[in-house]
Amino acid sequence: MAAIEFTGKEIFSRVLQAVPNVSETYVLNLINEALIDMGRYTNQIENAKTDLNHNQLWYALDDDESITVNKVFRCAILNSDSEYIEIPRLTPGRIKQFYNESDTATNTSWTEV
Amino acid sequence: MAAVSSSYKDPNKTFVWWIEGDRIAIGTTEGDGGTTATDNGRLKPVQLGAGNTITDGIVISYYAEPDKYTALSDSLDIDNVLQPAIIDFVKAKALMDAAAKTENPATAQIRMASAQQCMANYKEAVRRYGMKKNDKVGGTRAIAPADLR
Repeated sequence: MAAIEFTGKEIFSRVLQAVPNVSETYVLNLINEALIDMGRYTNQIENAKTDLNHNQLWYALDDDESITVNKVFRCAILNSDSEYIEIPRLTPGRIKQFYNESDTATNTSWTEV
Repeated sequence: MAAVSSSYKDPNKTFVWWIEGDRIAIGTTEGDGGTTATDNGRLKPVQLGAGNTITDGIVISYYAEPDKYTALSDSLDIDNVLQPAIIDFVKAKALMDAAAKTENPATAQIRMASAQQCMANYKEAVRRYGMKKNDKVGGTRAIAPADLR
């Protein structure tokens, strides 16, 4: 447990010193705006896993998923010894055959690890 | 869906990933997709047999956005060294809004100046030093010179 761990109440009290009469909801919205802005920078690293499905090329990363991804920098696949082995990133970003899977989001379920 | 065990010895040699929009693609040269473009040795989706799946077969590492903040009594989902920056951001925006609402030009000017100072503090904390502040690498480094023999 860190010595200093701010909650919204403490932020709210600090804001009241500068701007009296602001509401808690207003501060809550501003805190979320700050968090969105901070999310654009590489401050937080997380890992998540999902199932590898037969004949599924695409796995969804959009905001509707249970994880909030900004940039993926590593991917690993489970091997026969139950180890996760890092795999390389394909630089051209495409393969010969076109795959359009419209139900990608429903077929993907991430769990944060 | 039936769960099957992974039979891939070294996925590093046969798997690739890439990003397109809001999706990550996982391709492999293993298995036979049954067409000329997807036979063994060509990149295609994993071939496990219809309806089969490898449970937790993929792990990704990523730069994440903080979770949505829903109640003022909760802790923030961000490293504590960056939390003071949140105060600066919130104060800056609140002061800007307050300056816009006030009818006294002198008060508005003072609030705008304070808002700009708070925003400058925020930008310095997050944009310039964000990664340095919360990175856990410390101590002196030693350089191993190359052996040129």
